[in-house]
Amino acid sequence: MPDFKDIYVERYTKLLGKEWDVFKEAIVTPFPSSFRINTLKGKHHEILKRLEDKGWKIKQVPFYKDGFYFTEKRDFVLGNTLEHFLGLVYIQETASMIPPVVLAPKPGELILDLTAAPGSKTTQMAAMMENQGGIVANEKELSRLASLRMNMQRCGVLNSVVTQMDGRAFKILDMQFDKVLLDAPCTGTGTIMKSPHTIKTWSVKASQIMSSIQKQLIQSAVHVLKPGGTLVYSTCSLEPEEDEENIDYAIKKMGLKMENIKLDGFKTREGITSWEGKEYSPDVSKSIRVYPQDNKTEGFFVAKLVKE
Amino acid sequence: MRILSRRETEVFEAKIETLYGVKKSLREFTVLLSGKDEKIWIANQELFQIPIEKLRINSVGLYFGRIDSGRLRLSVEGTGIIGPKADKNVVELDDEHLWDFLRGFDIELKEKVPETNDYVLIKHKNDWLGIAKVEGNTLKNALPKSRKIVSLTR
Repeated sequence: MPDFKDIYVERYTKLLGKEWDVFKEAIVTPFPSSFRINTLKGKHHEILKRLEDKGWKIKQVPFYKDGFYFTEKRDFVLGNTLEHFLGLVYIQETASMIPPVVLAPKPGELILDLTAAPGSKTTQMAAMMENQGGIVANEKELSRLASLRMNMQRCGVLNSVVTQMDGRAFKILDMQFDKVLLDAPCTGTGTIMKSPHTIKTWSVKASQIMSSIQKQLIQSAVHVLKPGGTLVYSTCSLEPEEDEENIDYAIKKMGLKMENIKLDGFKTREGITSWEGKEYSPDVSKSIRVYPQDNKTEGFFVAKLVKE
Repeated sequence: MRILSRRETEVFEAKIETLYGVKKSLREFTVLLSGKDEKIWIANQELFQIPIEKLRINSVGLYFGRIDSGRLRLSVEGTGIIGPKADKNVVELDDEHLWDFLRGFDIELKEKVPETNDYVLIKHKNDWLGIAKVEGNTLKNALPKSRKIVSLTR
């Protein structure tokens, strides 16, 4: 068991009460690996049959028909298979499949993925859109563009343009999208099982700095969103400063309205409505927290907002 | 990167028809060409409802292939688009050769393949894997480095 900082223990005890003991085990425990069938490269049932014929022991993710996880330990590396080479499967954490499912992009719509690398959600959205309509897949960091492009290429994405811009620059552009996905850069405290160093590098200050950047990205996202359009905000952090506080900001300062999120067969918790003496809008509770102990996934936060 | 006119696109289509017997292969796409390296990209037409000229573009659509010393060098995905309709310059690998090809090795064939100066399409069963050059009985592997699989799982 790693050494959690005192402040971390204190905060999560406040968030979870007696559940802290369960959480601290779950947040460092590797979870079943998962992947997505890529329907841009083949029909769902044909790819699934192929995987079953190869003896893959898998089960469908309850809230998403193309998502699967392994039910038994594998003796092979998924990334070294022919199916991965061909782009028939895409390695993706289960919780990371939630934001596109909540955004629900449709064929013909115009979508902005404001912080797109490495492209898991971009490629998922392209598949949901059947390669129709258009996606702007934006990534600020040059070093992350190669993986974004590689993944989009392998998945056969035809309906996307890759841009390299600071996401905050979109707030001066005269253009509009039907839907925006803001899977914001974050401190990543929901992914400690994958990135144990996060325990050492995380601090309250780091979350506060990140929160400020995230609010600026929300401003950009709202600026280019059509009236009536949907914004999905998500992070793989469980810190309220990076999650509920920003949704409260989007409601009170940007005038967005919250919508409910329902994921069949998948346990989620309501967003919290107060933290460290701050009271958030009651509607913030419509956002969801995904704790690792609930479904054996990464920790995640997702909110669905509409521009009136 | 610029969008090609229908007439410019037809030049590539003619080349694909000559090489692989596939007619009007790019008709459903918008075709783009990037600068010095003559890379060919394809995208769906609806994408251009977005005023992309306002954006700092890195790439548009799917990398289809490039012109390499006058030869059309298709990407793995380009092969997947053209291959299923191709009726010539196709080489099918058996199980043993499949894994060598994916690891980036050249393939020694038992039977001679008709030699061509251009690239042949490589398939295994119904999977389209990329391209290779034919030299005698040898298929010279042309998989890009980034797509080679070092350690395979069968």
